[in-house]
Amino acid sequence: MKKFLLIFLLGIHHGTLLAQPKNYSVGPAPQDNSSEAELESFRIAEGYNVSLFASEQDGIANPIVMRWGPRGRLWVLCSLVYPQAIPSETPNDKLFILEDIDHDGKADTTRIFADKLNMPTGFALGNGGVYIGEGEDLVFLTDTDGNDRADHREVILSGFGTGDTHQNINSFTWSPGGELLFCQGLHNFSRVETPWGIVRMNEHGVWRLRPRRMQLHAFRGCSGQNPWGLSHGHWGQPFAKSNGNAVSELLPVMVHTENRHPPLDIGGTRIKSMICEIIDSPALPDDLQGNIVIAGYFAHLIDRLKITSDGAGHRGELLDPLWTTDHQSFRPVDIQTGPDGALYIADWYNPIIGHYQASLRHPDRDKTHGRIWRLTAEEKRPVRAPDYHMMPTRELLESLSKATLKERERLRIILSDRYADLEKQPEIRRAIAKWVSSFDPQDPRLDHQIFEALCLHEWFEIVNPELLERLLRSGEPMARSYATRIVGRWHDRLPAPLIHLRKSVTDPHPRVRLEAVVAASQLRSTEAMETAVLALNAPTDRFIKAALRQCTHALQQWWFKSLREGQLAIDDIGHLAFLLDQTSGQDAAGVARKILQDSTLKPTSAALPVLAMILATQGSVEDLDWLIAKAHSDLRNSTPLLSAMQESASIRELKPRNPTLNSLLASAVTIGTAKQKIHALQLIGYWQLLDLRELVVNTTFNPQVAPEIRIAALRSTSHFPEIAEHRLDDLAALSAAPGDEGIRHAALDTLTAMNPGRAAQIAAKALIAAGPDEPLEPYLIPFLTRADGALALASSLQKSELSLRLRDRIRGALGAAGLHSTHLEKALNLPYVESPSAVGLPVYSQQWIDSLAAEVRKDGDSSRGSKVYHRDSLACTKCHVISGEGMEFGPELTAVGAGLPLEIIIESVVWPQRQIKEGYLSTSITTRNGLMVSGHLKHEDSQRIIIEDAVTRRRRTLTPSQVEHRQDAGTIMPPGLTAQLSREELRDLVRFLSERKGK
Amino acid sequence: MFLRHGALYMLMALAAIEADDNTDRHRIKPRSVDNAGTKPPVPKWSELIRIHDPGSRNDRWAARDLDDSHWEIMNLPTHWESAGLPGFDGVVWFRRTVEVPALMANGEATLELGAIDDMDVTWINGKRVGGYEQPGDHFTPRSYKLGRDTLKQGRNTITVRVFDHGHGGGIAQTHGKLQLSGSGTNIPLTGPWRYKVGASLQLLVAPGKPFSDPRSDSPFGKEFNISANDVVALAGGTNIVKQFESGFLETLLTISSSERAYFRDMAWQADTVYLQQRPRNFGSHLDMLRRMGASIIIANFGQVEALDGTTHLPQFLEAYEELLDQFEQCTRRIVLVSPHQFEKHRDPLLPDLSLRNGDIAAYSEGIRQLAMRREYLYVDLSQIDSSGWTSSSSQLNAEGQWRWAQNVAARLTGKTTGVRTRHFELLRQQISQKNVLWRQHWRPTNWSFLYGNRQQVASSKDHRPGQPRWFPEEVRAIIPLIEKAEERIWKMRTPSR
Repeated sequence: MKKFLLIFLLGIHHGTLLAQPKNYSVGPAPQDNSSEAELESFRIAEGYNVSLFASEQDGIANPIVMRWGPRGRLWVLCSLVYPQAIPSETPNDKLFILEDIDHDGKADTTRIFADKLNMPTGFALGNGGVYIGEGEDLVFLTDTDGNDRADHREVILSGFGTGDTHQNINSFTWSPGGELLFCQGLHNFSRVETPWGIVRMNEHGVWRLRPRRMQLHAFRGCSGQNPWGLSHGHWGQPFAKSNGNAVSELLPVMVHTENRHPPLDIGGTRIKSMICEIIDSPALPDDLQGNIVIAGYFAHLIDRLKITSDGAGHRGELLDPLWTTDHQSFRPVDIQTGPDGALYIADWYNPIIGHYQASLRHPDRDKTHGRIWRLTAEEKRPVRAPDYHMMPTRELLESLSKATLKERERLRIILSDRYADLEKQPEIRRAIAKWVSSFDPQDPRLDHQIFEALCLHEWFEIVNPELLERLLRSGEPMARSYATRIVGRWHDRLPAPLIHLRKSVTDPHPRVRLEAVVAASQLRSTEAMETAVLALNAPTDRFIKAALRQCTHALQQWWFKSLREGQLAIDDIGHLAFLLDQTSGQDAAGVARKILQDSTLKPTSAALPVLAMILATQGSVEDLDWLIAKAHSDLRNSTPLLSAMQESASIRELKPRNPTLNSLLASAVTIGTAKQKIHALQLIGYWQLLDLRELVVNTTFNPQVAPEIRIAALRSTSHFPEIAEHRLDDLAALSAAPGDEGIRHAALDTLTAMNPGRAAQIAAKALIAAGPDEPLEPYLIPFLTRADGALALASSLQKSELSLRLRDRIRGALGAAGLHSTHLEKALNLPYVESPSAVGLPVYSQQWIDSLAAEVRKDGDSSRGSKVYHRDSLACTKCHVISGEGMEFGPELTAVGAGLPLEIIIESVVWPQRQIKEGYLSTSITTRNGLMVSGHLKHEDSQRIIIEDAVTRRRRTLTPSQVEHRQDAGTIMPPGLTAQLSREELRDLVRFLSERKGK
Repeated sequence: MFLRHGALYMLMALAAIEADDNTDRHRIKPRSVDNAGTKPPVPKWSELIRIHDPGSRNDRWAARDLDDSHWEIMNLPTHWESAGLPGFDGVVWFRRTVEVPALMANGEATLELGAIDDMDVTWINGKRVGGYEQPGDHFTPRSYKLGRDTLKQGRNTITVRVFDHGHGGGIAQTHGKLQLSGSGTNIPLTGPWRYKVGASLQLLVAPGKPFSDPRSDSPFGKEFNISANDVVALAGGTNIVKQFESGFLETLLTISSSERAYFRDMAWQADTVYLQQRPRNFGSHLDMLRRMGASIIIANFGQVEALDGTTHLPQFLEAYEELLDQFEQCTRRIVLVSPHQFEKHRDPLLPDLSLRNGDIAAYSEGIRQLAMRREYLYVDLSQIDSSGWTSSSSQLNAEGQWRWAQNVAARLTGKTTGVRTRHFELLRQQISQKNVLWRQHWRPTNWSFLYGNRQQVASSKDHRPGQPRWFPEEVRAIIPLIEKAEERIWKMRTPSR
């Protein structure tokens, strides 16, 4: 009986669910879901054509990934289980094989290679089977009887994270040497057992599996938060695509270490996108060759990036898109160059992409459609790839010398399938050797042929030192680069890898030096560190530095041990300083102390500032005392020491005890260089050295002194609240005096610290007198960054008549700073009659949103909305960027309309606290000395907190001990910003925002 | 509207089980709605009681026709600490049947219960008439107005569910009266009431160990045995994750046991004795063991750890003991399975882990001694030829999983199963499917939206107005599916003739 009841209840539940209006969706589902309607909507760049290769008519829906197989057939992975399996339903996702038998650009047959898959998110063909990423498992499927149907399944690795399924392991891509690379995203935490031990990776990164040896490496710091897209250039240069805007240089972070490195972006699209397919096809226009083509899943377009080399890395320049549309369900998610040279685009086809913007159970998620489009060039003819899979091995190998980038990858896969069996290894070894012996030394392609031959050696794990040395000696820098990479991979099987790396690390080309650093990181020895750091002898760029940083972390347990034991053979103090800079804590300070105290370090050495900084910020009070003595003994060269101490004083409450301190600072202020004066003045303030107070104050008011030094003195003065009364008058005079603007503002700031009431009177006057183009922030910031400042300013302003425009401008400045001062708002509002038509702050209700949404759709006017957006009183542009215009602080709005449904836009604008975008949660900190810092938390560890301050827009570093009170919540965007708008204005504003679609 | 659906789900989850309360241990305790762990920041007692208290499912212990003849008797008013429930905090149900004259039944009446320590819900004839469900009313005399048609002429049942969250508890009449009055009649309610203990405070704040079970308090001794409603939990790394998926061991134990047991796993890839990483808000091992009500634990550690070499053996054993201390808070019936031998792979490119079999032997001996010392059962696999157990990695392949289970089951049950019959495979298929459901329940994908750091975003909420969260409800609704699957497994465990 109960069973019936259950079914009955379930029935009701689902019935109700379907009967409800579909309110939230990233976009309304199209009325017409036909491929004809979609094709009709496409705007294709001149010189290109697009046609339909396959669709749901061929049995595919929601294609996620595709790869061209050995026989020139397109393998397509589709998942309907995504984004979340329905309990009680057996998952049945499929890997299809589509074949275009008559080569007319249309799929003719569909086979199912594998079914009953559970939300697969990536696959690659090779080594006699198919690697599939299926949630937590990496599975290897094989078809043992050759009937195009998987009949054997083995989980080869398990434990990949599934915390957010659109970030599951994806983008399976072969390196030219047969390493399987794949990505994972931010909310996925992986821990995987391998024969070499457990490998863990929390959050986003790129994995590298060397399948024959089952070696798994984790690279942290690839590209954006949810990388989805990997590719390799002609010489195996690896690129990663984030699911955000950027394309990133992957090589420098291909170092197996726990340390996370910021991504090295080289360019990108205007708005979120994925996949980075490098074009090499005789069937596509010449100007597209070498471009990276990108799938704009978010803004419904196909973008292209022109890539040029830039030092050790690359640079990308965004060109006009190849293909755009307004079709809400066009979702390009994979791009592959076909054997015919055309570009194939997998179209996931869905009105909803939201992994967090829309319910995972949203009924509008399309589970029935999916397309593969084919992009061809008008003036080029498609090519016809040979039937490689039928070719004898000798011919296959020879084809590697002439085939295009993607076809060469296909050739390697065919070979890897053909010789997957252990028994066949000697055969392929002989075949490759024979092929290599046939190379013509005069052939201009020789280097690339050797490169290809070595790649095959890597695939089959055949170590060939002689051939490797030939490539290491090549005149082509890219060839030497790749050869250097192989030294890293083969390091445990080469007789003397370090000899090669020492040569490469001093190579004339920066890319080779970069590869040498990355390769060295695999050697796990002190000598490897000693070799890698030689890269600092030649010019470095951000790519080399990043690799060296990661290498330093990867090898720390070796080199640091040697250092402590006095065995580290790094003579150059600058090199050592670079290494120490990557470490932290007492250990590093100890080493820095030793070098600074023992060595004959030249006072002009570039290492001195780094070492002094480590010592001052991480060492003990004795270290500070030592720095003071050192500076005192040689004032002329004391600048880096003073600078290091200033940094220390600003972040920690450690006061030195050296009695010569006062004398040092006094001399620095009186006879030092300008820089020394500034540091010394600040230090006097931070450490509140009463004996030197008069010196500071006198400097402040000495008109002979240079403005930047007076400003430093003014800032220092604010640390001495018990200043003489007449000096307050002087400060007041200074903050109102004509003359240097910087001094005036600094004086006001200091006066606010001492006597907010008095400062407020001056500020109020200045605000009223301010010209239309004069920034108001200098008069507001002193009050808004102090606990009692806003009240003081509010009382002063209340006494004056304020123009409407001034009130609007102040309001805007407040909004942009994310400050909610009830005092100030009251002061601005009291005499200010709101327009009777203003919407005010409505009570949150779905109905209110729905009715406004209806008005937006019906009557919203985008051009009027644009004017509202640009109003001073709203200050939208102070925090948001649209198409490069505005200040970057809050979320970029260039494509907000493509990403968010109208209802969510309304909710975000009217009740900003309700929908906070990831990464924009605000943190407010009040420090022990009464300063208020509020903004976005950028970094936090046990030693420091870095906040991007909403008021000053500068990064502030605080230590946990400075924090008096802290609140992590909400958003910088204040509530009620739209209260002043009339309903029509709000309607138009939302319309304007909803039409920002990133094009 | 949705909330009502949510409640329906929950009722479904709870109502679909018809088990005697005393044997409820094996029932999967759902996570609370608003928290991923088991301890909400501010306890919402009424909600917790609704979920975890056996009598509160459908308010069934308040039902008019409930047979309470086997309930204990307590004379009220009194604090129950001095009337047979010393030191008890939690829910106690009281019932009393009274004869109501016609005159009283036809008019309005008042039920007075005096002050109740601490909270109550009160029913007459299964219909709720009042209650104080927030803390702070332990001095408030209860006085509930009864409408005209509340009382019936003749026998009426009064049910009071008392919840005490500290110190003295019960209907102690420190203030007010204890009587039913109306139309000039007074029926005193002092004297004997029937009572039954519901959810303990401990269960409410850390659900999962509802009833003390003496079986769990002593180790196996020399012999493995499964008693009725035992819950067997599997702990370990990737091999145990995959063993649970394959269902080999579970099938073997299910067939060989005459009593019905329930199998759950708590294994996770790359779990070691040193580190068992879980997602944010997942809860501790103990929380998990309690939620599943584990009474037997089969643990398999030491395989990956042995790669550290024998120098790390003392640390290994120390860490293992700490882990077992945690397990023991739930049960002492524990089986330790040793690691198995590594095999030399024919591909010379793979590391030859067979060179480390000396370490496997040393770790196994350490585990054996640990098991002896703690009186656990020990299963030694370190002496068994394991060739063919693995393919291209160190993980067990399908054959390896079967051979592993075969050996463990043989050691535990004394029976060796050599052949997998058709019935065996059919049963295993059912078990496998059930275990997929278990996984979907206890460690579902998209955890960050379910209980991780992204609970408030739209994904885990319903698409309809008001946006309640569908996700926790859906995960909770898997429980009855698991139980249904287990019913099927139990029915088909012996081959039909």
